[in-house]
Amino acid sequence: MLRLRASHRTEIAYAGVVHDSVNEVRLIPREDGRQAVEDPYIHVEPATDVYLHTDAFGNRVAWFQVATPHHRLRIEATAVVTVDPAPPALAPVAWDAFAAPALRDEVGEYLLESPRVTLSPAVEAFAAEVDAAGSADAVQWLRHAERTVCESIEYQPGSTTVDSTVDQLLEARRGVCQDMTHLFLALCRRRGIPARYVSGWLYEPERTSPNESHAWCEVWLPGHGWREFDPTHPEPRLDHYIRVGVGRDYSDVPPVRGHYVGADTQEMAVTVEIGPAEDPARR
Amino acid sequence: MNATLFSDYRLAGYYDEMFDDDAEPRDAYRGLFSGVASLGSDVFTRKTDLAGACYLNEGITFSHHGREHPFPFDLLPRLIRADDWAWLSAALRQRVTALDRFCSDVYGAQRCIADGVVPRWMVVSCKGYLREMVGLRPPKDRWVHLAGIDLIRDEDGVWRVLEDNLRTPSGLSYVVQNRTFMRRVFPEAFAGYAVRRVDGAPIQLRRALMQSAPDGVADPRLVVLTPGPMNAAYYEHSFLAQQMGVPLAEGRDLVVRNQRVYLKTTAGYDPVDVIYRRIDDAFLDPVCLRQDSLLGVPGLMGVYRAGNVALCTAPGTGVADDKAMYAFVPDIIRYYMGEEPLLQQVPTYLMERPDDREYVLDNLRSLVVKAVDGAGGYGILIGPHSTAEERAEFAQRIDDNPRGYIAQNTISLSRAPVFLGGRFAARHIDLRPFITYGARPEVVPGGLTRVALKEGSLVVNSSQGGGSKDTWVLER
Repeated sequence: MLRLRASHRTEIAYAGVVHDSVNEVRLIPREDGRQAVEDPYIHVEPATDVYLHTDAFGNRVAWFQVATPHHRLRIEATAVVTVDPAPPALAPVAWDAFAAPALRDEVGEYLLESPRVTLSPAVEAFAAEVDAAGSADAVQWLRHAERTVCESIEYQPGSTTVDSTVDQLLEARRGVCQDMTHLFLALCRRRGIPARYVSGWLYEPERTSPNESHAWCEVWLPGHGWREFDPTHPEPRLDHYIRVGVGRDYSDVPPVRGHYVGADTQEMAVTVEIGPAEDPARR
Repeated sequence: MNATLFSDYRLAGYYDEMFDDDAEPRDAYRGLFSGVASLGSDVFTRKTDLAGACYLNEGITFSHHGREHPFPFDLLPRLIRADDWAWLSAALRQRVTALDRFCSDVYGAQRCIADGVVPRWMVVSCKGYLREMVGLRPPKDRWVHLAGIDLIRDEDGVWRVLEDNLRTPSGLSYVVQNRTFMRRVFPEAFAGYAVRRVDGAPIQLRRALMQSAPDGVADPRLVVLTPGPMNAAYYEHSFLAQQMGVPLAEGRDLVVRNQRVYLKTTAGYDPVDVIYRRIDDAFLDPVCLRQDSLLGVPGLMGVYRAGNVALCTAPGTGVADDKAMYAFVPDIIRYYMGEEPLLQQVPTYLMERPDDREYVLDNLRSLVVKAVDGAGGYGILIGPHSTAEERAEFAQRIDDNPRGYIAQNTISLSRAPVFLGGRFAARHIDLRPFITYGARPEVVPGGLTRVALKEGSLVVNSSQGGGSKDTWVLER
């Protein structure tokens, strides 16, 4: 069991004065799966009231408005998250398990195309490469697909934007975790495997540079429930993942989305800091 | 039926609204028939031209392929007997109440899914299912504030629901204006008839909207939210705002502050409690919904979630008027109302069900196929009037996206006389009555009778060359 203190800071500097900034942020870690959350807190500057609600996917959403003129906006989210150890390795899951009609009624939204996960001809062609290897069962296929995406796409920060499509990724063969996750979701849904997008943070204790936001997938395996796959880091070290938002794709879980009136955004910096939380007994 | 204006009129085996099977005028129509029959073709033509001029002068047009056309209006009214109307009203109230309860349940406890009335899959795969509404409870838990239920009569004169329109149905302004122009150009037609008035419809809508205001608001302030003059229904938006006596606003006229909505006026910010919105769900708020929307109000959904404004109709009601969900409506009525549905439907095949699909693909020639999220008569295949090429195209579309299509038996819509080319000819018609829903569902005593002007056509939509008739609900 790992107990981590996480903080996520978004700092936006505008080229001039802005006002009537309304934002929806998804930065509070989830309390399901193997996670427990203590002391979640959202702090906004300029100071304003923050309203919380839970969205259709069970994500905690904070809503706020800064109506008065301002030049900078700072959003800081902090929480202490306890992550239980990873479950035992996956046993094989027969393909038949996905043919059950009940699956559509349980998790149907994760079988369909979604705004950012479309089954385009380019996806079909890539899927054919993945399928060429053959697979005895679904778990084997998933591990193979996870590796294939990882090996086919060069991880290159800055090569895509948050609005890039899977087709653009397959054209350039370069991208980041969000793009690779969308591609993996498309592969799964095409095979009739329910799969959803997870946005969150990755704890990398050995890392010297700042931590980063991350995106990966959860796949619905009959008999197992939702299980993690990460095409950016195949066969992930699961107790280092902090789950913040889940949805059909990125469009359901952007960390910050909003609207304001005024000057352009000059600079936006996002910092994620994760470290061991102090022992609760010593507090 | 010997008058010259009707000399070429043929019943041809359809249910006719005006004439019985022996070609005699039905009782209610007798006075009207003798009055009209005494007129010459030239008089009727002149009156028809005058009515057309009224529409043009008033600016009542609709957009078809990017051009504005006056709305074709037929001067022979469609009559509905008082006893028929009493029954229809009860049936419509039952249906709209059930659909409103269904919306509340789908975005709330989802009892209907747990109890197996509607499969969860049908809900989550529905284009009109708005995830942003999950867990959100509108003021008074009212979802459907204005419904337009499209009704047809079959070969036997039996009323059937063709489709439900819950997402900002249009046409209420035509109901009112058809009557205004009818009285102006053909006042003598009303002689001997006691017709229920429809000019109170906007006030009836206003009452329903006011009753749906957030709790504790003593004197609710209402605005009509329009996408603007480029919208095909802008005339209606401005007409209803003017008739209800409330401001007509565009998104940029409204602003969110301190979790309230305000109307910007020359005298400062005026709080707004109820918004009759004629903007599609996706465009209401760029923060929560479509980010590229320039029509909405940033932050509006945050205010709505806080319970400080009513959006009418509530976002997300598209889940209940989806054409595939239609197949479940009789069960939805039984479930929420604990009674049998009063109105018949049109037998419907879900392309999702393999047996249904196979039957439909084998019988495309005799069926009607519709896209589940289509509107305005687009995305429809009328089997009996289709070419082999069109049928092949629809078969392919059904195969590609079974959830996206339904098929229905072709119903021979009832017909009524329409003045065309100097005399009366029979054309198919339907009826869109309007139901307002504030504290209670109330049916506007009239409706929009739509006419398929093309001979033999079953498509009455104005975007497909349809016209309309004044609809008279008789007092007795």
